[in-house]
This record gives sequence, C-alpha cells and structure tokens, in this order.
Amino acid sequence: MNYSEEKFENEVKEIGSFLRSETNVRPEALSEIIGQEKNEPRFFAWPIFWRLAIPVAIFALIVYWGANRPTEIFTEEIALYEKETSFFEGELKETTLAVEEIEQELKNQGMN
Amino acid sequence: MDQMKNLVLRAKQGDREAFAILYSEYFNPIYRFIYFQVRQKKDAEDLAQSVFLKALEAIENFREQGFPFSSWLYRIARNSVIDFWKKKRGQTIDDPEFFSEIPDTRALPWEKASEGFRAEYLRKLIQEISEDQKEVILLYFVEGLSYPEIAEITGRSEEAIRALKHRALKSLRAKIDEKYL
Repeated sequence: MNYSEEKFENEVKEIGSFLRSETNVRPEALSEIIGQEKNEPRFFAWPIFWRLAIPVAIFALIVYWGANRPTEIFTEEIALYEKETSFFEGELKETTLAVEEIEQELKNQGMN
Repeated sequence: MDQMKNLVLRAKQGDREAFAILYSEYFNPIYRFIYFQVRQKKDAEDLAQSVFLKALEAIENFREQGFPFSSWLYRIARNSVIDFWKKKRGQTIDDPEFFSEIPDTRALPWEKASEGFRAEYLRKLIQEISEDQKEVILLYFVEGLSYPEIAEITGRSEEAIRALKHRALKSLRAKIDEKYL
C-alpha cells in the first residue's frame, strides 16, 4: 500500500463502522435472562463457602457419631459388669458370714 | 443524552422497565466488544448477558463521574473478558467462522477490494495484534468512543491510548503490506 497514515486511519475508521453495522445480534429479552438466573438450582447459586461447608458438616457428624457409638456400648457393658460384680460380692459376703457362723457354732460345741 | 441519564436514574431506583430499555440500547455494543475478543458467538452472548446481570445487581452503586453509562458497562465487560481468558487459559477456542483462512489477495489490490472484503480481512488481522492494541482499535474505530472514554474504561492515560492506537495502526498496516507484497 502506498498511501498516507491519515488515509489509512480513515480507512480503518470506515471499516470500523462497517463492522459495527454488521456485527449485531438480537438480544434475548431481559426478563428471560433474569428468569434463567432465578431458575438455576439454588445450591449452585450459593457461595463456595456454603457449598463446601454443608458436605463437610455432614461428614463431621458421621465421624462424630461413629466415634461415640462404641463408647455407649461399653458404658452399658460396664454397668452390667458392675451390677453382676456387686451381686457376686453380696453372695460372697453372705457365704463368708455363714461360714463364720458355722465356725462359731463348732467352736461353741467344742467348748461344751 | 438527558433521556439516557433519566433512564439510568430510574434504573438506579429499581425501575426494571428503565433498565430493560438500557439493556436493549447497549446490548449490541457490549456484545460486539466481547465478541471480537472471545471469538465465539455463544460465549460472547453469554458474557454480554452476564455483564447486564452484574450491572443490574450493582446499578444502585453506579455513580456518574462525567462519563456515559456505557463506559461503566464496557468496564464490566472488559473485566468479564479478562476473567473468561483466565478460566480458559491454555485453551484455543477459536470460532471456525471467525478464523477461517485469510484469503490470498495478492491478485486484487487492497484499494480495489470491496468494503465487505476489507472489513473481513481487517477483522481477522486485528486478532494478530496485541490484546491492548486490539482493545483500543475496537473501542476507537469500531465503537467510536473518544480518548477520554477509552482511558476511563481501560484505566490508562489518554496519552497511552493515543500511543497504543498509533502502534496498532502501524502493526495493522505492516501486516497488510506483508500479505500484499
């Protein structure tokens, strides 16, 4: 090309307005695009913090429940064991008393 | 101009009808500005829509500072394009329609080619210059904005815009010369 900078600039200006008139679209109605936004599933519209926080909280609850459940079973078992132990202790005490009574009786008989 | 200011004022007060008029008025310039940069019709339409949704959400905070409302929209669009390319980093998503082979034109002198042909040719050549030069070419020559408006949109000084425009024209001219010689 052998023409001036000014001529070239004017030419680009003309081409620019040609492109302006040629590159157009019919926009969707505003109500449509606002509607599309509203119809998005709410979960995906939430901020990233809440999207992560909910699954993390559910996971933590499961872990907490899992970690605490065996303790409850052991608590029940310990209570049962303690109940049984105190029963046998009572029995033993009674037996010991009976033995002592018999011994005392035998002692008395021997003395007489 | 006053009518536009009035519409902006009404839209700021929550008048959806006024915003809808602004939307239909400015959708095409915003779409064009985005389209020449993302080079995909569908992406450009989606981005242009998202620009207006962002504007609708933030219009209450819009403060007129001596520039038209469109400058504010262009600024949102500019940021959307930057975010778009950040997300698509490393991907090439050129529209085949946009990037079809540049025809061999050596047989036909540039000055004698039709306006449609030269426009198409230039549109493709614009993609070969740097992003900041391309932006100035689009805003100045395609959208017909002034230096102060472009400076406001891009956050550069008017002198920098003039220099970028000069360099962009030089690059385009060199590219045309290169293809025609």
